[in-house]
Amino acid sequence: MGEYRSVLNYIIKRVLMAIPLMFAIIIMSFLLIHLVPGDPIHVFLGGFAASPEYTAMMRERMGLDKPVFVQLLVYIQNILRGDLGTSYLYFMPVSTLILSRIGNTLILVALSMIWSTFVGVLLGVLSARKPFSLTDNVISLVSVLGYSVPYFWLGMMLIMFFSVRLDILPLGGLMTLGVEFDSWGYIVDRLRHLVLPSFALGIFQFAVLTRLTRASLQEVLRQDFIMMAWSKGLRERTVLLKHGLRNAILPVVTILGLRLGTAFGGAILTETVFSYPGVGRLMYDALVQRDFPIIMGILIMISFTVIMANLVVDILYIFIDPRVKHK
Amino acid sequence: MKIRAFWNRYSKNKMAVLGLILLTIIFAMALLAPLIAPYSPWRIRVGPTLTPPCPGYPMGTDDLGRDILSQLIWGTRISLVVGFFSAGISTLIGIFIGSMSGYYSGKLDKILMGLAELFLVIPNFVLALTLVALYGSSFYIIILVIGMAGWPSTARLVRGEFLSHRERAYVEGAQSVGLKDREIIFGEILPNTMPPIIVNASIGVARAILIEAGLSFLGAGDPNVVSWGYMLYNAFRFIHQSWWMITLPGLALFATALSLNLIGDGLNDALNPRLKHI
Repeated sequence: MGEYRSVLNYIIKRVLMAIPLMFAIIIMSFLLIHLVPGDPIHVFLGGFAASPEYTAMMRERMGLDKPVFVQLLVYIQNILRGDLGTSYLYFMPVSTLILSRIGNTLILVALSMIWSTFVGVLLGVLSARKPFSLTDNVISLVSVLGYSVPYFWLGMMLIMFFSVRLDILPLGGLMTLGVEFDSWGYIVDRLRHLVLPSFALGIFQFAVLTRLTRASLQEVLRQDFIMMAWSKGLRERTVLLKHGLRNAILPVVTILGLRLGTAFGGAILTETVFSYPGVGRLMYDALVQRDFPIIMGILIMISFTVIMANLVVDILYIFIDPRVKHK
Repeated sequence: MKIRAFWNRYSKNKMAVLGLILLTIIFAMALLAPLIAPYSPWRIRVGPTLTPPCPGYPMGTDDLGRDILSQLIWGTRISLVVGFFSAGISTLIGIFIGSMSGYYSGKLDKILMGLAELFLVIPNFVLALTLVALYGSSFYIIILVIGMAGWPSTARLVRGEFLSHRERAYVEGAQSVGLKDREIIFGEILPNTMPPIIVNASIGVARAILIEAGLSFLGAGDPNVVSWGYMLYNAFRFIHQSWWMITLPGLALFATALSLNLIGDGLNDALNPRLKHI
């Protein structure tokens, strides 16, 4: 019972720490808009020549005729209600636009994170098993290459090779248009469109995870309890995975939230290269059209997602790191 | 003598030496751009449009008949300037905030680290893109924006170093002889915490270069400079026909980032005392 209560306290504490951060994000985006030289109404309207009636209506809705402090309250209130403003380009609420595309982005981001995690951790373990061996050197080289490659350029190279030259994978987009699929064929078609973008988007994270796992596992393998495990005559696989990786995996979990943010940021470039209709592509279109409500809305949405992911990671820690319970 | 010992450790990492050679070549290209570039990077119709690499135009021409090799050589300057200045800005901010946070701890620490966390939950690229969209995409704004987006990781690193150094004997000694905080922070502790900061900065240069390229690729770069990202932005429309327009600027970016990351690894081996034993 006592343990249950302390876990609950821990979770409540974490949630309470996430809330001010969300407010800070909202306040910061408010400040960013108001620090733009000129009348902030132009930011809310985007780069469009709006009619005077519409301008006046928006001015009133955003409270721009009132003191700055009241404007801030209106801004916060709107966002808490889920109102991220109206896109002038699409004549639609920004939240509706984001919601209609977030699913596509989440699929892309999830696939890239899954492959990069599995391959990254696997190669990291192989690397740490025998430091400075040939395997380790090759893996280190691959990971420093993955760390350095501009992934949007890699995306274009993949298109040129696999789609234009070999013609075995689609150029981009969400699915093949104008073809009737059964449900299985539809899934295969969607996946074929995701192969190249999720590979390109995951390459940097794959490199980060390989390096992180290698460093972290090496550190763990030098500790006494590993010596102990060896001297008990346990098999290499048991020592490496059960004793070593179990402890070395903590930093890999810690950066999960941060990685999610990086992947969302990377999706702007990847979705643009592959004409993939997600939130990233929406951000690009908004940038080209100076549709600021969309840009600010996506900034807030991504930041909130990262905050929530960090919260989930903090709570996951209770289960994978026994030390947390006692803190 | 110290430099020789450092070089001995650094040069054990052959890839790091390769990275240094690569970066030296890239620097030479940037410095000698006016001498070695065959044409002005902006001059249109120096040759036929969309020409593949050939003896007259070793890297081909673009859709306006501009010489790709010349653009590539001049683009070196942009990437290096953005990379080093942006990383310099984030490192300076990171050092300042991290050292205050780690040395004084308490309330100040809480506020500063809260600020760092705020910047960390907004992905660098998203923040940079938003700032450029709001405040314009001149060359100087881009440098500033990338620098502003990257400081929190440095600040956290510096804070950690300061926390571990604060309790050591030499700091207590400095405090007891009455040195001012400013002198202790920047004169005593900072020099001792430089190695990981330098490693972090060299990787930061590569990261800043890639962010700038990404911004320019989206058309959010300074339209008045020829950068590798801008070349890719321009080349994307011709992805079906002009492989050279896409391949070559990307390779230049790749090579530059790779050289900096290899140097970072080498510096880490040479400067990080923790790893010396293995």
